[in-house]
Amino acid sequence: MTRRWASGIPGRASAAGTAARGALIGVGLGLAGYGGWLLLGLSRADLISVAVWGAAGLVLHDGVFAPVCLALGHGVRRLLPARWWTVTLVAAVLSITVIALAIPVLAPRHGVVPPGGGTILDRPYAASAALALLAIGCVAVLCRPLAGRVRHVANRGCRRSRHA
Amino acid sequence: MTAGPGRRAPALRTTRLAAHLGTALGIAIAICFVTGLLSHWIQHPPGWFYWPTRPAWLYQLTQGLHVACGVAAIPLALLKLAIVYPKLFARPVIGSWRAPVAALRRGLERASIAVLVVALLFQLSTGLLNIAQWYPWRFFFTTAHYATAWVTVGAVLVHVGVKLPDIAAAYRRESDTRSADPDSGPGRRAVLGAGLAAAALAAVAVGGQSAGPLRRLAFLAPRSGAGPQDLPVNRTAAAARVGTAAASPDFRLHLTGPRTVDLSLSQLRALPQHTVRLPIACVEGWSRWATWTGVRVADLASLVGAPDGAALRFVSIDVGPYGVSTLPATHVRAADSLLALQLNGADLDLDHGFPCRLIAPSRPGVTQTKWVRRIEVVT
Repeated sequence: MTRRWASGIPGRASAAGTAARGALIGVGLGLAGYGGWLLLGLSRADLISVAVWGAAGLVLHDGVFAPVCLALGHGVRRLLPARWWTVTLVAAVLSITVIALAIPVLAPRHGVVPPGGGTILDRPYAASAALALLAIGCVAVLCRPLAGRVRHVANRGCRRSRHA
Repeated sequence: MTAGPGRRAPALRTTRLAAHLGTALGIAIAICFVTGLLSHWIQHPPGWFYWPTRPAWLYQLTQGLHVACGVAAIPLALLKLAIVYPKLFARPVIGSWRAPVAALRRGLERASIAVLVVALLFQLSTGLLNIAQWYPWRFFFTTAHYATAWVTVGAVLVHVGVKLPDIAAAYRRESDTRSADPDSGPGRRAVLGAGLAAAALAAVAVGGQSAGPLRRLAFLAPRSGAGPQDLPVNRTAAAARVGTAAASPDFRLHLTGPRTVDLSLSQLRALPQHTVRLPIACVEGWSRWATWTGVRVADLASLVGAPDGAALRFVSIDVGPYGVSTLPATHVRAADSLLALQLNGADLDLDHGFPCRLIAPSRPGVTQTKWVRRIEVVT
């Protein structure tokens, strides 16, 4: 699985490049360290809460979201013809964006009322999100023949695909 | 087209695509960091900090950018992570004791990426929930978001430093570009285009709430822009528990400085009134312009004999965390800084700070103190 494209390009290390890398890493460590020091100023309970949120984000992303997306991607490659892949990927990225942004305005809050009263969360989010997803799907279906034609001309025929 | 099929990478997995998406994400993070830092300094000004009163929409712009770039970074971050995700399982995971230097380098790089991913996901998720006023955690949002911003930016710089040769090669087109297999899936431009389109969609769908007419398109924004007197409310009188005291006929505004003056509401109304057009620009990203009428802050300052260059502290009936704000001297002198009594042609709604509230140009909404009961000269 490991390939050249996953690693650095050797033989290009100039003195200026090395200095720039050193400076970036040094400054980066300094800024991150300052942030860490600020975090340590939080109370113990708050710090635990921050750590739980940080860990939950990593676990949910690396352990659930990313593998599910990867599996769906492989599923699309097996189930749909190659001419559908690009348009499906674009539609999926847009749809995931809509869903991610809709969660905070749509998720039930179990009785916690925002202090903004009735002037917050005052849009028909479920209907708008559903409409947006529908529109993305329709545009994808309508755009596919166009994308396929461009691709066909560019590649002069469709070769067999190879799975990564 | 000539390389053997076994040597080609799908365009989705090329370093070049990762570098280009990373650049877009890096720009969004940089804008978020700078605008966030400005917002922090405006609210907690260091001695050297200066924030202008002109243009009046400056804070609307910086904070609108902060939220728009923050939501735009969400699809960019998810796509960037998806593209490099297989590297998480690359072998060797860290290395062996036979090559300790290489193992140490790889281990440190993996640790730095873990910090970057944790910090970035933390910033994006807490920021997104905060603008919807949803706090399913214990920590104080602004403190944690501010501290983690430094961690995020630091981790980004470390990551760019580590990957600089790859990034430079990607932009010199010396990396794997030519070996990208055109038949192995969506091309680099299509994926990059999808990321940028999703970023634009996010910026409009949520960030539109700070950009005037664009708010009609902001279908996922936490606020439509509607509210009493055509202005949203961030903290109602009921939430602040100020209703009784604010609506009392015995209300007096206390001005303290070299002289002390108490003013009733009718005495405030008898002072010279001025009308200005200014936005409420919330730290949560939404903005709304309104017409305000009231007494110039500068007139009140001279009423109590405040020296030139004095700042003023505004104290609310609300004893909550945002019940006190300090207006810097530049804003005290500004002709359009008002202690407003009217909003859009009528007395202030109780939820907008009746009987009087501060409204000043280019300031976060959270510092436009409502239900003002005392103004103190800060010396």
